[in-house]
Amino acid sequence: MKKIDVTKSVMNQVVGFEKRRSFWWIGKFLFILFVLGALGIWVFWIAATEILQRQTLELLTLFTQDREIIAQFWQDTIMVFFEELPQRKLAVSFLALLGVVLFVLLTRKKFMIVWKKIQQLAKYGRNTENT
Amino acid sequence: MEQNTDEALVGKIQQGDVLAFEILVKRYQRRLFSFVFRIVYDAHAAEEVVQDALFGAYKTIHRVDTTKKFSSYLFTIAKNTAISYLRRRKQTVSLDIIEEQASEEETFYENLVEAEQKHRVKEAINELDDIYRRVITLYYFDDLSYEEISKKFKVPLNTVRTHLSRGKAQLRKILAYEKD
Repeated sequence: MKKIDVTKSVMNQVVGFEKRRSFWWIGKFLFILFVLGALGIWVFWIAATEILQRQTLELLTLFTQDREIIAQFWQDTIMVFFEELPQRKLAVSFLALLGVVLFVLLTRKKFMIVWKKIQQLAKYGRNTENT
Repeated sequence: MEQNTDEALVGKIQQGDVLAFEILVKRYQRRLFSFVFRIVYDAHAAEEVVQDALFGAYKTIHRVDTTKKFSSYLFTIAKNTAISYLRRRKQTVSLDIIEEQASEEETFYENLVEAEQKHRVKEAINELDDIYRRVITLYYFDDLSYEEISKKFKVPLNTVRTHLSRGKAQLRKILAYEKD
């Protein structure tokens, strides 16, 4: 019976396939991370600009006043402060950033596997070059 | 890593150790080739089918259950790949016959591997020192307990234990030496 050795050709196929699959996964991972992160930061930036323009934070200087003034006005001040905040924008930004954290947590295991695969592919590439 | 079982290697591959697959390829390619050759009756085609089967096995390896035998999975893929190859080639051979034949071959190869392993162990046992061989044979093959063996040889129970333990150690050495 003829003796065969398909190790190299199979491993080349495997490495090619794994390269495409791993880089495609990393691409998708980074894209989602970037979109969610950028959305979160962008909306937060808009909200922060709005807060600074309206000088909403200055309402909080009430708490640097005397105790009697604070006791008299703190409830109103807090209410006005929350009303002035761009709540929807802040919520969207919070959800997007929460999404980033959850996405990273959920894909952490898979990411480690893909990272290991990429290292192995590089090692295979080096070994092939040397032989 | 080459000492690892198939299932351990599959586990490693599933954890991202791509290069562990190379060991599985080396371990199975020849057996797969002769298995596939008996289906396609063409050496060149058999080689192609083996390549496709191995690659196909890799592509779905993340779905493999590591508690089950990997060889059965691999041979099933090889059988299906060979049948697909014949379908593509529009062979006039009845596919039912081929499937039946392939399934027999698969069992045959599994039995062959098992028989080979049993044979190696039996041969190694024959190479053991007489007393160890007798104790191991009585304990593992004749299902005698420590007490029964100690009565039979008129030796203390702990001596039986010692003989069994030393015998196993010697057996491991012989098998490891044969493997090298």
